[in-house]
This record gives sequence, structure tokens and C-alpha cells, in this order.
Amino acid sequence: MSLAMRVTPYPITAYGLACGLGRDTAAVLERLRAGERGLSPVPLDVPFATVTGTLPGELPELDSRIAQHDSRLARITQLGFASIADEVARAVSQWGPARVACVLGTSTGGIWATEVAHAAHHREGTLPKTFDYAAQHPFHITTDICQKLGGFEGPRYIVSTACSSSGKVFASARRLLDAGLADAVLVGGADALCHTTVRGFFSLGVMAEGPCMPFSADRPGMNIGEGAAFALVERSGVPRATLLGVGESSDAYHPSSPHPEGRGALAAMQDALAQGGVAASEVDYVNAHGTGTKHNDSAESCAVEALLGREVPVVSTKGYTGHTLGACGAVEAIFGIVAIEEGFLPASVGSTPRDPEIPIRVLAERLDMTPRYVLSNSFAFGGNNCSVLLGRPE
Amino acid sequence: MTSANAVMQPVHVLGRGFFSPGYANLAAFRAGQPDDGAARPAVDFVPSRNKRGCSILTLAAAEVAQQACTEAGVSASEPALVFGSCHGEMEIAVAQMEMFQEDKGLLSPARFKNSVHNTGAGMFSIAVENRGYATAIAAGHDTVALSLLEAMLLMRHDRYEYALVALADERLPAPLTACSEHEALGVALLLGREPHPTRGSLGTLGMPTRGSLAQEAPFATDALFGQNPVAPLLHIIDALERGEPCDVPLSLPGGEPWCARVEPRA
Repeated sequence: MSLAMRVTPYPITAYGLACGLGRDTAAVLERLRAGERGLSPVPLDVPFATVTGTLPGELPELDSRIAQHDSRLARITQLGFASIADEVARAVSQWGPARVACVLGTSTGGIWATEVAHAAHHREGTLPKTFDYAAQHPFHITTDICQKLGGFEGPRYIVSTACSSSGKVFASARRLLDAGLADAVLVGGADALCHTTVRGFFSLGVMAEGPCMPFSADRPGMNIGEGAAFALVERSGVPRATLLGVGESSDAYHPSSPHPEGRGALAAMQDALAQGGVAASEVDYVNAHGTGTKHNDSAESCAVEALLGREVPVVSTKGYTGHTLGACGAVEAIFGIVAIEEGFLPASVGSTPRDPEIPIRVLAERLDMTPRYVLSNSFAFGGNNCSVLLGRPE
Repeated sequence: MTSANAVMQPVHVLGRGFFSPGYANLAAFRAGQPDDGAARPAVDFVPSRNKRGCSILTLAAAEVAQQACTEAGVSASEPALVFGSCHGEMEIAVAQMEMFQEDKGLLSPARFKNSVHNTGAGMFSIAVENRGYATAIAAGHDTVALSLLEAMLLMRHDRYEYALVALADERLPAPLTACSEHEALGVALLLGREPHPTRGSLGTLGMPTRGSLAQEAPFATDALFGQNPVAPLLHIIDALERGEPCDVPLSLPGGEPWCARVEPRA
């Protein structure tokens, strides 16, 4: 039973991202449209083989305004922000700095910097002089970086619910706008490759040696990715897509496994539809969480079938980007916006041969169509679920 | 609405939770006698198997959350869950970094799954069968203010009658201890749109706003926990106990000057 109420729709006026597919929005979308994976051998020194969605090329030096935050996460955040910087500047000018807020997701913050410093401490008995925990590690460094680059002064904070983090930020933005506390909210997420997550998911026995194959009978597990993705949700403006609702729920089932029938996932999708006043039969595209692990694929497909039936097109884009963890909610919501804007649903790369136990319509090939309503799902450790409902502008 | 001075109605403080090593709850802390038997939170309502591999941070957050619900007389399955921490699961993070250096450099699955920022929220939601909203906030020295703001937005602009704000930060482990020196602390408030129908309200809490206080009354708890990023949540509890309306600071030095109005029950 959903207790959700109808909510005010808001325009999403801009977006930008960087991930394993490319260093800016145009490069990412070109490869997404072409069906090219953005996975390559893991660049970290780890005692096993895997591929990851690693930002291609050297990451550029930081702008002097954010130099103190130097870390892999900071550099990725800077790259992603560059794709939306002009629109953020426009919003700050239009609404005023104090009326632009920022809510971002991350799973591990700047932990990579501390990993490097800790390894140095292990070797040399002292932390490197270049290590600045307060500026490089905590979760909130990404909001600080965006604030310094964007010049806004509204409230800013981090949502860190692992892999649902940057889906949930769209809901926080809606509430800030509803409350009149902001007129524009920069939302998004950023996470960088690090030993903690790469070794951690390997320890859980869910890491693939080669490219992931969500919903496939031959699925070998998941790949980790990294990236930074941002969107602007505003009180008014020219919409690229419309934010209609964000469903949020908890499985209350298991710390790291989804409810086998996708109970919480179903509740989140129902919640999003109720907020938007959209019938299940009207949804014409689902960007699945689709990690490529058996438990996740199975639970999510149960929930999708129960709510939407077997015919709605479903795509996992993690075969392109890897699982970007705290950034995936925003990365994949943007892919949903792109579907609406550019009129194509990407192929669910690696999904064949399809697992016969998966009852839903997973797109093996790109489908050129312009969806009216899109659900973008993100599910996380702790049984934390989020589903973002996006609509085609009227 | 485009007013730069948007104001939400105050919410009611219905319950409180507290834990710091040596002090199992708020009453024990007020009594001022540390107890060696309370080095870690009891968390009796969580099965042992679900506490395995958890940090003191996770346990403290869950413990204070339950205490606040109990005092409020509100089922823990009802409120929106707003957990938060500035630093997060650093005890586990650094333990895992030690493991990188050992043998094959692989991690413990139990530790890894408990290393995410929302471990406490997840553990609590499972234990009390709360299937609604749960989040985990971080905002540096403004973590208290922004967590309260998120909670109040959930009550005023979403469907929730109650929101549970449960914040904790642990002592940073070596070799990072000097990066932020503070004792472990967990504090929770159970907030409601209205007073509880039978238990009433401890007082009201206004929306966090930014602005320097004209004159800050000293808070005795700052001497013990002043550098812990969640310590400002204790200011609200202190203010409720003082019995006089006042504005309380919600941020540590270095954060933005967030504050909120506390009106104790008459």
C-alpha cells in the first residue's frame, strides 16, 4: 500500500556527467548511443582480475579554488561539474546565490586519499605531509567543491545511502523547492574507484572478472565504476525532462541482500508513480538498477513484473559504466532524461543470452522511441530503495 | 513560493536518546558517574547476528534511535529515519585499510557490508521493521543542522507524522586520531508534527536557519563533546531542560552559523 501523496512536478533544466564512457556529457552519450562499453582492466593494484568503469585518460589538475581537496574524487567531481558549470552559473545569476542549494550523493567520499595516506603510513610510519584529512576525505568535500566552483550559497549536504544515494537527492531537491528554501537545486553524485569498494565487492563474491552481463543467463557478477553526474532541478525553466516523483522505501529484510521478491523495490516504484499521478500502464521505460548479480537481477525483475508487467522495456546501463555506486542514481537518471530528450533506449549491453528466470522485457538492442514516463531505479545495502519518475515535458 | 525567508512551522520534540562510552543513556550521563559496563551500546533489540562486525558508531546510532522512540511512545516502525554522521564508519574503514596490507589483501565480507554510511539506518530499519523512508546525511560541521532540516522537510512536505534524527560520530582511529579529536557520541531526537496524544511534547524546535546568535549561552556538554560533529544536537536537549526559550547553535566552529529556536514545554 502506498501512502504517497501527489507532489509538485519540477523541471530538470540541465545535466552533465563524466564516467567510464567519457570525460564529458557529449562523449558519454555518443558511446551510449553506439552501444560501446566503457570498461577496462582495473587500474588499481589488487590481487585479482576485474574490469572497471574508469574515467579515461589522466585526470586534470584541480582549479586553484579547490586545490586543497586534491584527490581522485575531487578531480572526477571537477570533470563532471564542468559539463554543467555554465547552467549552474546561469541559475546562480537568475535566482541569486543564496537561493541555489546543493544535495549530492556519494558512497565513499574521498576515501581513496586516505587509502593512499594509510599505505604510506604503513611503509614509513607517518602520514604524508600532502595528506589533509579534513579537506580530502569527508563525504561533504564534493558539495564544498561544487560550491566553490559554482558560487552558490544555499544549503548543501550529502546523502550517503550507498548505491541509492544520488537517486534520493532528487527527492531532497523536491522538498527544498516545496519548502521555499531554494529556487534551484544542484543534485547529483560522485564516487571514485578505490581499494575499499573494489576489494570489498570481491570479498562478497559478486565481482566479475570480465564485463558484467545484467539479466543474462551467463552473468559473471558486477563491475565497479566511477563517475560524477549532476542535474539542475529548478522552480521554473525550460525542462529537459520533468521530475514527477521519487519513491523511497526500506526492505527491512537484510543488510546486504535485497528482499527476494523485491518488496522494497516495488514499494519505491509504487511511491514514485503515486507522487506523479502516473498509472503503471503509462510507464514505457525502466532504467533498472541491474547490477548483474543474480540476487539483484531476480529481485528487481520480480518487482518490475509485479507492477508493470512483462512488456515494458527494461535496460541496465551498468554494462556501459560499471556500477558507479553513490553516483549511479544520478548517472542513470540522466540516461533516463537522455532517452526522453533524444528518443532512444540504449541496448542492455551483455544481457544475452537472457536468464530464462527473468520474466521481463530486457532490451537486447537499442530501441528508437521517445518514452513519456521513465522510472530509474537504485537499490542499496541496508535495503535502501529509490525510484525516480521522470516525464517528457508537455 | 520564492521567499528567501521561508519558514516552516516548528515541530515537537517527543523523545531523546543518548550514548557515549561509559554512559548508557541520558539519565546515566546526567548522573555524571561513568560505568565501565557501558563501554559499548547495549542495542538489546537487535539480534546478535545482525550486530556482528558492526562499529560502535552503528551500534550507538541504533541504540539512541530506539531510546528516543521509547521515550516518545512512538513505534519505531513509523518515523522517517534520518541517520547521519560527519565522518562515518571510520573504525571499519581503517581496519579494512590494515587488511589491504595483510596476506592477500582481501577484506572481510561482514566488515565490508557494515562499512557504508547507512549501516546504522539499515540495521535499525531491519530490527524494527520500518519499511518507510531512511537516509544517512553528512554535512561536515553542519551535519546536525542539515539532518534536522531534512527531517523537518519530511514532516512538513512529505507524508511523515514523525521523523527520527539519530546522529553519531565515533573517535577517529589511529593513525587519523589527531585529525579530529573527540569522544564517541550518539544523540537522537524523535520529532513529531504534533504533540504525542497522551505523552505530550518536551517542547518545540524551529526550522534551522543561518545567522549568528547575538549571545550564545554556554553549553556544559561542549566541554566533553565539543569537537564531536554531532554534539550540537545535545544543545537542543540542554535547552529543553533549561526551561527557557532560546536560540541554539547547531554547527561546530568551521561550519556555517546554523541555529534553531527551542521553546521548552511550559
